[in-house]
Formats: sequence, structure tokens, C-alpha cells
Amino acid sequence: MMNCDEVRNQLGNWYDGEVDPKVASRMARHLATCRECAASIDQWRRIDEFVGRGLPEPDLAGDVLAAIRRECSPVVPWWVRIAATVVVSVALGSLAGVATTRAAEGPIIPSTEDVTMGALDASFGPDAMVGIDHLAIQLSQAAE
Amino acid sequence: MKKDKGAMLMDRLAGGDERAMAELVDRWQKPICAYICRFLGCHGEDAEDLAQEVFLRVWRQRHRWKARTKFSTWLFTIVANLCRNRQRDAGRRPQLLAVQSESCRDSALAVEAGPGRDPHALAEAAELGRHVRRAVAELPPRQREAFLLRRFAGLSYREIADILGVSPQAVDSLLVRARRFLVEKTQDSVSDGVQRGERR
Repeated sequence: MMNCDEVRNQLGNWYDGEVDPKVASRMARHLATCRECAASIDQWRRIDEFVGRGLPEPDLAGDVLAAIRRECSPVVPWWVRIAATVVVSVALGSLAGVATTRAAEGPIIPSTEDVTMGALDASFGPDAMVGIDHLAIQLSQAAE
Repeated sequence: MKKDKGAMLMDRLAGGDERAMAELVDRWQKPICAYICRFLGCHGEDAEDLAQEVFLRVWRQRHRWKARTKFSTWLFTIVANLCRNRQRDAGRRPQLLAVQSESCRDSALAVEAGPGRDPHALAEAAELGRHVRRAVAELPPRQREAFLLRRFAGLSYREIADILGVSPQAVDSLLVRARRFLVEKTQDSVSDGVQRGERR
């Protein structure tokens, strides 16, 4: 059986569940019979009880999730949005204008002279036969 | 090694699962708010704002968290650090903040007690509650941290030691001194309350 001195040395550890189960069991038996040691435990329990009273009952999930969403989607100032819209519109308009002009001009097709001169350059090089074939193909494409 | 529930929620959170965040908040908001209230002596909106900041930090660090420690230890490290920073920035001792909102806490105690309770007993309980809260606010910061981590987070000595950067033996010593201080400060009120409880 443990005496009061032995129990008091480990009373806090026992109260916090930090002692070996066998020691805890022996201490519990002492506390069941010793009013003085048991009174300390009762005082601590009372203090713990009152520390835990009158506390808020929070309900934070909604606020936390809203704050997270705000962090993930930063707010863009209104004037930045308008400026971005104007820039994009001008850019799209320019592209549309270029596309319209090119469509009016028709497709770009190399002239027969360009094809001939290009192929002759190739013909008088080392691969003369390849150059002649190349010339024939390009001339027939230009005719189409 | 089996993962604790907090670690599993963090895995889901890292994967972008918003419901994991909601579950984390529901599980931990009460002990976190309780710790903040008692450590800083603040209440209501102030405590909830700081608690919200705790959860935002959890969110921001979700990819960096590794399950090397228990989730509750990691979480309350954030809580303790934020509270220390807030107290340092405020430059006020918590008992001054505690006194400012005594009446709302007494009202909360009355509501908690429920109708039909003996008004004399209610007044005694309110008085005892004030004594205890003032005593906690007067604890030296380290003792207050150790006491509140034990009381509200339910952490072991080793876990508290990790948060405070001390040994488990030092935590034992902090708690012994904190409890001795609290008993001395509230001796008459607590003892009378214990005796009245025995007589009933």
C-alpha cells in the first residue's frame, strides 16, 4: 500500500493519466481511503470544471470555408476588369480586320517565274534530276 | 502505424476536399476557442476571429504538413504561437481583458445552469467561476500554456513538451506549480464548493 508522500509525488501524473497502470491502480486504492489526498484531486477537478464553464459555442465552418474561397479567388478591382475588356476587344477587332483584308486579297500563289527560277537554281546544283522533277511538280501546281 | 483521424483529414484536405476542412473545424473549434479565451482573456468575436486564423493557416500549410507528429500536437502548436503573438502585440495582461467581459460570462453561466436552479447556488457558482478565471489569467505564461493545453487539448506531457520546447519532466513541473497556484488563489472558494457538494 502506498503512503501519502509517495502518492503526493505522483498525484499530478496520476490525475493526467501519465503513470504506469499498475502504479495507477495502487494510487487509486490509496485515494479511495485517504481523504486528504482525495481532497487535492477534488480541488483540481473543481478548478478544471470552472475553467471550462461559460465558454463560447462556436460555429465557424461557414466562415472558415468562405474565407478559404476568398483566398482562392482574389477580387479584381473594377477598373482593371474594364481595362482588360477594352484591351481584349481592341485586339480581337484588329485580328478581325486583318483576316477580312487577307480574305479580299485571295490566296497567295507563287508565279510561274518564281517557280522556274527556284527550280533552275536547284537544277544546276548537285542533284540536277531532283531539281527537274521539282520544277515539273511546281509548274503543274501553278497551272492548276 | 495507424494514422490518427486528424492525419487522415489532412490527407483529404491536401487533395482539395472541402468537406475535410468542415470536419476539422467541427471537431476542433471548441477546444481551440476555449484555449484562446482562457489564454488571452478575450471572448466571443475576438476568440472566434483568431480561431478562424488558425484554420486558415491549417489550410495554407496543407501540402507541407507531414504526419511526423500527431495532428493535435501540430494544430495546437499553431494555436499557441498565434496566442503568444497576439498577446505580445496587444501588450496587455490577460486579466485586464478578462475583467472587461465578466458580465457576459456570468450570463453564459446562468444560461448553462438552466432555469429552476437555486439563485444562491448560481451566485456562488458565478463567484467561484470568476475566481478561477482570474487565477488562470494570473498564471505565468508558460504555466498557463501547459495547464490549458492539458485541460482543453488533452495532450500528453510529451506532446505538450514538443509544443513548448521543453522536456516532459518540465511539463510535469509546470503543471504542479500551476495547480498549486490555482488552488492557493481560489482556496476558500474551491474548498467551500467541494464541501458543499459533499453535503448535498
